[in-house]
Amino acid sequence: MNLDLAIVDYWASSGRSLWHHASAGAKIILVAAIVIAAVFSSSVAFLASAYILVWILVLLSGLPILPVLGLAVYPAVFSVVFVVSRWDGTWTTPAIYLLRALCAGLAAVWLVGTTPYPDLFAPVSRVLPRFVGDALFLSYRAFFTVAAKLVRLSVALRLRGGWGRGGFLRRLQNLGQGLGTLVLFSFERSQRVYAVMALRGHSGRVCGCRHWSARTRLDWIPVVLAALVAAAAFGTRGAP
Amino acid sequence: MSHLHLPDGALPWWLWGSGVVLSALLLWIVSRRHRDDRPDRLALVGALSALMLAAMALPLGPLGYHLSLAPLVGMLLGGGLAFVSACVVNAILALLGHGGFTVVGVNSLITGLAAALGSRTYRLLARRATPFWAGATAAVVGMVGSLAAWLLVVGIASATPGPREMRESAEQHHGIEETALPAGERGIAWERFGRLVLLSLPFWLVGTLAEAVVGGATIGFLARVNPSLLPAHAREPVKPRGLGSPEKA
Repeated sequence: MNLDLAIVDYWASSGRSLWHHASAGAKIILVAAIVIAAVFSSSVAFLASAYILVWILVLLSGLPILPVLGLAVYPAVFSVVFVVSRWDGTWTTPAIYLLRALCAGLAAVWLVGTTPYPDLFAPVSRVLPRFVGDALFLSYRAFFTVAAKLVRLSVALRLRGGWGRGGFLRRLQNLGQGLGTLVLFSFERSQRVYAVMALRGHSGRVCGCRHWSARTRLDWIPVVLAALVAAAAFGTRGAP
Repeated sequence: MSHLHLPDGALPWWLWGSGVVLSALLLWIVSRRHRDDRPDRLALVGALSALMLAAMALPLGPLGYHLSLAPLVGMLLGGGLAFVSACVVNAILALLGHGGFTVVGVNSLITGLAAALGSRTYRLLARRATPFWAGATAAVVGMVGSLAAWLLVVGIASATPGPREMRESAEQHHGIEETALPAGERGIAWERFGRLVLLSLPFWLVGTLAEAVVGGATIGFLARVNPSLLPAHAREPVKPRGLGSPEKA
């Protein structure tokens, strides 16, 4: 089972690099600059340079290379359909589409791999409606419990022959019934979470901590890098 | 995959920008409508969003083929709350490179449409069909709707100039870039669109079948075990097989 979210969450909580100590706000500014610049740029040179920059950030963060490489490849897989459909006989068009997606995807993985989720979601939830911001926090928290249950369900299905016999449709039916037990668990869990929230004096808002906005001495680095990326993107506008 | 996340940089800026604005508007409307809900409803949205995320982590075959469960979550939560779930799930997935940041709005609208159509169809069919068939048909309708929306988005993207055409257009018009292909090149757009459909349709067909069987089986299971969880079956539990109605007895 592919539990990338759990792995990345562990990197963010256990990492001790300089980037792990920088504030979430500064890192969000840098990643926003990289993503926006990548999406708007049509310069292969700029996109390749930005991609190298993000890899340097990953290496300096001490994130494990092979798992990051695995995550970094996902956007390329999703882009292949678009690359093939927009094939115009040149190598630059596929390179642009691939590099845009790879650059933005790797920047996102770097951000989430160096920033614990309360710091990451707290600023985001401030601009979202309260209901949605709270749902973001609760979904992330619930994921680990539900995913652990799903792993056990998957193992149980295989051990009891629910995954190997009866063809594809029969397997899917067994999976559907198994997921039914997880839906029941989700309903029960939501009642328990509600009870816990009420006991702890829930005031109608799941609050993220204010740690995300606490400035550190290192914050100037992501902000300066963001400005450089934006300037480079503007400077290479229209260049091949 | 029963759905294909759009990556960053594949769509023109005005298209993903419209997706962000429309999604934000829908989120605001849904939030206002549900602001007085009990907190356990919010916790349920969180738990079912987590279930969607976890189901996407369960590979069903090669190439990371996985379920989305959007129609199923729509049947359980209703279209509005399921759209919140879709947004949350797409935002978290974007952090891992599954779909882009800038296209979270468009991806959420496509996934949310599957949930909303699934919810509506299920409510229509719940009293007319068995739970399995009601759930399976609702899942198929949801998936067909989201496929239509996806094709519409990528069709529009195909009709806009690519990076090379934009550059050539800017050179010819002294820096002014065209935002649509010239009339003489519309054939290119159709060719691109045809290629996309050919590439993606087999995946969608298998994905829709998988969503239908899994959705139907889950709804059938819940109707047997705890029908009160299903909005449309809440007042009328499914009768066990082999027993007649009380009137006939």
